[in-house]
Amino acid sequence: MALVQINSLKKSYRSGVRALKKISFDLQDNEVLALLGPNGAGKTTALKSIMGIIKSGGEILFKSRPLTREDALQNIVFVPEEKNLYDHFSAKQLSKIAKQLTPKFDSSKFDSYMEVFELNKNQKFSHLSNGMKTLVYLSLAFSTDSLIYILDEPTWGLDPLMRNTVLREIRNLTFNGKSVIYTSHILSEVEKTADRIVILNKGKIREFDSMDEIKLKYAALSSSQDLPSYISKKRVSESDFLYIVRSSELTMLKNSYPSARQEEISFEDIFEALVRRDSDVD
Amino acid sequence: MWIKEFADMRIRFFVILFIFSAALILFFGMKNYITQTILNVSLDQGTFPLMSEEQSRLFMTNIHRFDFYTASQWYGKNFGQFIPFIAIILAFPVFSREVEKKTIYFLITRKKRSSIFFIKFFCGAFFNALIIFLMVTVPYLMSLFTDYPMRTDIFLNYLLAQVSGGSFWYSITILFSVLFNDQIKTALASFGVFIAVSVLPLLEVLRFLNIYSYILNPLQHTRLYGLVLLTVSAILCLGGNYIFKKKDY
Repeated sequence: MALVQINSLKKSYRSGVRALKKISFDLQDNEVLALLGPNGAGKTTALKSIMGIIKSGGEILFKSRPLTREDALQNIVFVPEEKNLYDHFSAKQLSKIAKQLTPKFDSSKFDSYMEVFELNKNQKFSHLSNGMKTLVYLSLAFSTDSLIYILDEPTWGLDPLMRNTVLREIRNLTFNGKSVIYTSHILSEVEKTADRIVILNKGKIREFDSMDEIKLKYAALSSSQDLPSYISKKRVSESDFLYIVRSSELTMLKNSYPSARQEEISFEDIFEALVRRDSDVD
Repeated sequence: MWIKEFADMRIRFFVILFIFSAALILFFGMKNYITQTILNVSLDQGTFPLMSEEQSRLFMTNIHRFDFYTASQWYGKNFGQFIPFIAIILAFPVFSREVEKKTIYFLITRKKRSSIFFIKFFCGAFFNALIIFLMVTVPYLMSLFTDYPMRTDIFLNYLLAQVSGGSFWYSITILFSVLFNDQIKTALASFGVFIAVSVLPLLEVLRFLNIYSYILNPLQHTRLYGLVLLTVSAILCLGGNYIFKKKDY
């Protein structure tokens, strides 16, 4: 049984933009699920829908029953894309406000996170750098006891060292029985952290699986000929193109086009192919 | 969360309180000078505009009295006319600033929307009512030490009119603050309604909309007007809560 099951989630804005086009995925216990996609893919809309911040069509189930706003408040901690808090308060004062807002907030845990992230809790929020603001927001989130953590770009503005610390903390959450959904633009960190990945583009899911499975599903072929079936095609030299194709079609393509050479494929190649998708394949 | 709301509002509250406290001190400290100036002008012109000869005579006779001076010049003019502005200034950023600065997520993902709404609403409503209460009550208390103490029923009438009028303007601005995602639109919408409510009563059928007339001179209206304003404020508050609960952020 999935912890959260999302079925045919759809959302259209008044401007006419269809941000989500019936997407379905699930979140399991003790899992880190990453949502990847270019800007405007629908990642934030999906997260806000789960949290009940926006209304959307489709079905969101929590432990097999419809997720209510009350369930979301009780079981989900949310970190938004914009890590904005009240400029005139210090981190210490913000922790007091968090405590007033939810009894699940643990002030002593917050103090230890401030030490881990090397932050001065008496400094006003307005005096912090963007990275520090992200860390304060994350400290407030990690110090709140919950079952699910939804983190929209949790490593935004962080230096590589702090980014690793945060990713380690995200991983640690799952060791303590929690589940995490998070978004990121940094593919390498997703490769390191996520158990499963949802690749979104233009409101549709392009891929949803574990990293290993995704890598097995696709292959790269370089050829100077026009291949009939591919996910994406990129010119790599004067005469050669790099094709990203489905592994299921690899044997057929190699037999039909003996001159095509199989290349090593990276997750970045697959991601780029899926979001650019200049093929006839849907 | 109350602490945050108090902190958010404290600058606006203290600035408004400081300005009107200073105005109150000057207004009553310079009572003799002000009344003499009014009389000199009226003697030059014979009568006051919009007043009959009898009314002008009564005005000139009574202006020295502390109770009359307070009701006509402070409640009915120098403080009373600013009540809508005080309410609008206190209310316009309450929700729209949270949305504009994206801090609303911190609140609505941690606490029920209704709780957030009512804490924010009543915190500002308290400050709004407190300013009005102080500015209406202090002159009344001062009058008790003069030769012309203000009658308690007149004081209570003014208190009801000015608190209910202030509540109306506060509630309608809060509604706009929930509806609009930026502070400028909220303030403009509130001032738009203020202008409409000031102009429309020029039409005979819409005279009842003249909230200013009630705030500045409640003695010519029944207390029902104040109760209606409080009821409308409560309806606007509930409407604001309903929209806040349903709104996408």
